[in-house]
Amino acid sequence: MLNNTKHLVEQFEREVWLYLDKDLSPERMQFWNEKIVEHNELQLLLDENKKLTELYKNIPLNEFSEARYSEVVSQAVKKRNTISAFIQKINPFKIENDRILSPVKIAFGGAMAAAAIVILLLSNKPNPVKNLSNEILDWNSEEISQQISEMSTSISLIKDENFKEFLIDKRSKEKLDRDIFSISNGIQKLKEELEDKSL
Amino acid sequence: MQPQEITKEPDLIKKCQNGDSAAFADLIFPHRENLITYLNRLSGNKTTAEDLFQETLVKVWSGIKKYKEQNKFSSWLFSIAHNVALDSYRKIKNRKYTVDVNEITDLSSGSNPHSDYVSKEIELQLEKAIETLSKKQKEVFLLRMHGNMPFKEIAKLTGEPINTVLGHMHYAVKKLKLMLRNENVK
Repeated sequence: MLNNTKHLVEQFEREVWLYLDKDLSPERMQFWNEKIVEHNELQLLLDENKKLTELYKNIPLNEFSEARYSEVVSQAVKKRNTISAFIQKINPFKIENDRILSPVKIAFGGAMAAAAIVILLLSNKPNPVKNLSNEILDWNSEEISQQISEMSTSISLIKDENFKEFLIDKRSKEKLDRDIFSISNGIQKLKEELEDKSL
Repeated sequence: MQPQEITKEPDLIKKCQNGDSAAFADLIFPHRENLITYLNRLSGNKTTAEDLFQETLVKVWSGIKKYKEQNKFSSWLFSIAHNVALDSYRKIKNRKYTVDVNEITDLSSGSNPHSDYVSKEIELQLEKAIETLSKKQKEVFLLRMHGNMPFKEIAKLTGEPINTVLGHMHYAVKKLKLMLRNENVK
């Protein structure tokens, strides 16, 4: 019995403000109405909360003179109007202030810009040179391919000619060397014969 | 608020929505002392409260066109004041809201037992006790007492589940009752 009452008090402590606001379901309100009659502790809790509210509401509020109040209101209105005038001045399309500078829109715009930057930084950038080549080839592929082929053939020819020239030169040089060598041998033999005869 | 002022409120709101600043002064006038007291008790400083009051008026004046009549005006007004106070608190969160000791009357004199009237001493004790509440407890308690907000609205405003909000209120009230009991025992 004692435990039951304690449990009820704990439950009522959680719901007492909703009970006072009549913010509970009709069934729950009925439940508490019956329990409050049965248990004096619940009535006591209810009375204490009501008393505290009453006590608090009896505390005099801070005074705010009419003169000071008028001053603060006019300053607030003036401050707001100054901001409006400034926004209107810098707004060439004369869109209403709340339509252009709502904090939600600014935040949304900022988030979108940040997301765009992140995507841009993370995505694979295409090779601009490769792209350009492809574009040109797509545009005039036959002519370009022909030119490339011609160039390639020319390079091969140049290579071949140089090689032949090289071979010719190489052969000429070897022949010349051989000739010089045989002439030198001939001179050497002549010298030797002359020496023999003089002896 | 006087009954006459309640009937005038929707008309004043319409005038404000059409840019009538004199109507704006009339609209806020009945709430002014409740609002400044709320901000003063929340911030614990009269000068800060007046700055927050003005900032609240700037926000209310600029947002009055968006106000929809299905919401109670006082709840809307106090929810704006709450957000303004919270923004200000975030800006200076390295500095805690402090109580200006010069603004609290000396409570050294003995307290009288509670009689038919609420004594000045008990009022002051209650004000002092509110200062001892945690930030969340104070927020919920003051919104309830000054803004007359239902707890569902307070939960929506603070972004907390209703049971958490009721928990803050429960502990705030418990603490205040305990402090008052202790004072009465003396």
